[in-house]
Amino acid sequence: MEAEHLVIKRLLALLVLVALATGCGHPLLPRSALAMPQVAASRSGTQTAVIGANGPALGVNLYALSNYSAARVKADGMRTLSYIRNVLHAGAVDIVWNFYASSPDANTVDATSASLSAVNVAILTGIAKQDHLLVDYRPLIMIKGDHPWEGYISPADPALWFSNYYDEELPYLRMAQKYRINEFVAATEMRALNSSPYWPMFFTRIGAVYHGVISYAAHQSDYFPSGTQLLRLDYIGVDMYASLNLPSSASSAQVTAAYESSFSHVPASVLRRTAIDETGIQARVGAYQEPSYLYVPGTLDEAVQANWFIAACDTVKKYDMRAVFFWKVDLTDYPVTHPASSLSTFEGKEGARAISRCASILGG
Amino acid sequence: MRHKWPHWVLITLFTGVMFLGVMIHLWRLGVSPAWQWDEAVYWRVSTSVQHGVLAEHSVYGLPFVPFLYQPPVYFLVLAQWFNLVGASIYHARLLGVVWSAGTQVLLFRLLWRIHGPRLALVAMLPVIFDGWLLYIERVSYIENALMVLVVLAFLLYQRALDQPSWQRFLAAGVAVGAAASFKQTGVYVLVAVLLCWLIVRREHRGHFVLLGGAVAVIAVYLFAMTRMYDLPGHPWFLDQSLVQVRRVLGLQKSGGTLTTPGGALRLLTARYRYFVPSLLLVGCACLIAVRRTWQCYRARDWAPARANALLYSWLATGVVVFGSSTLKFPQYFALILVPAYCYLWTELAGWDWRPAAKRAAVATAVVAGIGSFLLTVPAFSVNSLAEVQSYAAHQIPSQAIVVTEQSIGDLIQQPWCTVENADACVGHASYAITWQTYLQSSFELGDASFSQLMKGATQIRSFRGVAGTATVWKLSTS
Repeated sequence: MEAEHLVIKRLLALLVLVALATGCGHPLLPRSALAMPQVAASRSGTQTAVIGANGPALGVNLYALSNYSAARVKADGMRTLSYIRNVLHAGAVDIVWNFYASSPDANTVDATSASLSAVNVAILTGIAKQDHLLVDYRPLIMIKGDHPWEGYISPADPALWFSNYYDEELPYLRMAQKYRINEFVAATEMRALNSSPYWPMFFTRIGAVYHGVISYAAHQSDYFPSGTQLLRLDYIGVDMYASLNLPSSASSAQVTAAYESSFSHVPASVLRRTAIDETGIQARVGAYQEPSYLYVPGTLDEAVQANWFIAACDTVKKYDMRAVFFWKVDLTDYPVTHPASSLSTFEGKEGARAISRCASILGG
Repeated sequence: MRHKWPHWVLITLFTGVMFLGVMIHLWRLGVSPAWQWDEAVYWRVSTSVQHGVLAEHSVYGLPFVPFLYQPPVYFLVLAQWFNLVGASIYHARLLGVVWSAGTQVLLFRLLWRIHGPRLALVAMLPVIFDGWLLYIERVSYIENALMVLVVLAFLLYQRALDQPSWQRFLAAGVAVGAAASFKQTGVYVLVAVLLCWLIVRREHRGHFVLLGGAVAVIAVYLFAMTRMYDLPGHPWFLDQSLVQVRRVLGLQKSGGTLTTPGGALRLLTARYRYFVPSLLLVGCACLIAVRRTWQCYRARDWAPARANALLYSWLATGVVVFGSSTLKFPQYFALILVPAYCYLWTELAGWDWRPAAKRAAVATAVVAGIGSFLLTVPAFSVNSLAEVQSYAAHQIPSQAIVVTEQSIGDLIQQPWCTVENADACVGHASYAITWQTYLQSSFELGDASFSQLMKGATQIRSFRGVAGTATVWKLSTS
């Protein structure tokens, strides 16, 4: 009789335990479904500040073209992040690295030996935090071959692709959560995959690991009217390389007016949630025609790049957008002592000074 | 002189028969029957669970809603199966075959326990080779998995009756509760046990323990589900559970609801005419059960039903519960067929017939079952849902918004609105895919917005299959 009571008590205790254990969370529900306003508040409260919550942020893309030793990453990171913080006067850094795909229709995304490791990303994060920079992570995907742009990616099995992509991002997501970075930009310019139905599930999986702000960088074609097709997230980004159809002699005011007009038909509710995750241009004569051509030869014209940067800055200020990140500083650069000489970089050029001025524009 | 076969021979024979049954289950499984309505939904929900979300293909313009019309355990299991072998309706069906084999093993053990191994083997033959059951078990219905729990619960209950101890009753109660928690319809096991208790009228204490165990498991399930899925302002679990209850009670009409006897007759003669042998056998089983009930009534005692109390209770409960439900899905009928066959053949064994006549009856049932199954394989192979899925993938732009019904919405990759709530699609949708069966039509279920969208629509393609007819329309508002 006593044994009977004992077993029943234990069973009841087990059931209560199961009930409590299973009833504590909300498994298999996306974060977005858990009362959006509360989630937004908790994100900024328990994680870290949302980039742009205290007014538009000035940011720079810090790009790692390859993976390096931890010691080198530390040395390079201290140098470049110091430049970003102290010379460019940026308040945010976007750490960018590459994943790789073997072909546009491949179902896999690979972190190769050329991908900055999650451990190294963490090293940069630590330095950036010491420099009081807001931090976001943003992986790119390079397609091997003549057309490396990730916008061409259209896997044969999208479900498998998303699963693989998640697996590759997972170590970085864990670092993002560990270091409580400000934002994880989960994908960039995935033009061909933009309408995939797997994005919500993908973002949900990411959200289960990293509890801060999750966003993605839309290609401008998916962002601007009339082709707007944005994924459903609280915070979004856009990579801005729209042609302005201006002569190189255009004044800063003209460039700014043209740049702003690109955003003029975007609803205010969208603009306030948007960060320009990447914008850049060559310091080259004629670059306004096609700003995304970052590697073509030409004649140096620093004013083109500087005007472009000021235009982006003014636009973000005007529309109260979250942030602007300028493309780019390479992790291995020596921007002060040996500025990179390519037309697309701004180190040592008028463009760098324009970025520096942007800090006061956004802060003013 | 009746030859008594050793147990190992009977077990070997059963194993062989079951293996043959599994082979038949697998034969042309990817081709026939055509995808069924629920399969597409379950497939989509399970693939979503693979990606961490308990939901169907999200509906355009509507906020997220989890899928809780069925308890989530099945989807969790199916998602794990998909992780293991791949995610398709065919793979889901393979798991269904595994469930069915498991059910047969447990059922064989149950019948062995009640009536001995020889009769168990004989009674299992028509169960394994029945046409309707073969048809149902080749579709990835939740009921195939539910039947494992149902039979397990009855097996544990019978064991407790045979060798009473409170632990055995408790184990049976936990299994009963698990069946009810796995799918709402599984609660009929509890009703069957209560009826059996009424008939056997013994082991009252054990039955109370069983009842307590079952109620405790169900209570924990309800508590956990409420905590997890009833959020402030979003009582998803409660709402969707109540929808199912209202559908069963006939208070809410939706796709698949059978409201009139005429509708049932039309459905049987048109779509399920191949299963006449199964219906006749169930009719016979019911007649025997009614006769037994009449004997009990005349005796004012349950004694006449006592020798086969569990199977009688199981059959009677199945007939009453599912007969009174307005939902008459074919897979529900399997929850009656299994006890009906078990009851029929175990009762028949006691009749004063020549052994050859009994063997002939069983053989006739087996042949009729396999025959009706063979007829259904080609007849049910035209897969209109797969065809419309393929058409949408290749002919409808990936970003076009489609207004359609639940199952098709889950199969296609395009953003979609449901015909019942098409408001968000007005001015946006450029295609519609309607669905028409004997029991439902998009034109009946669609709301005013759907009717508005369909004005001036041009029919492009139609895919007619045994499951239903899918028609693709180009909307004039695009």
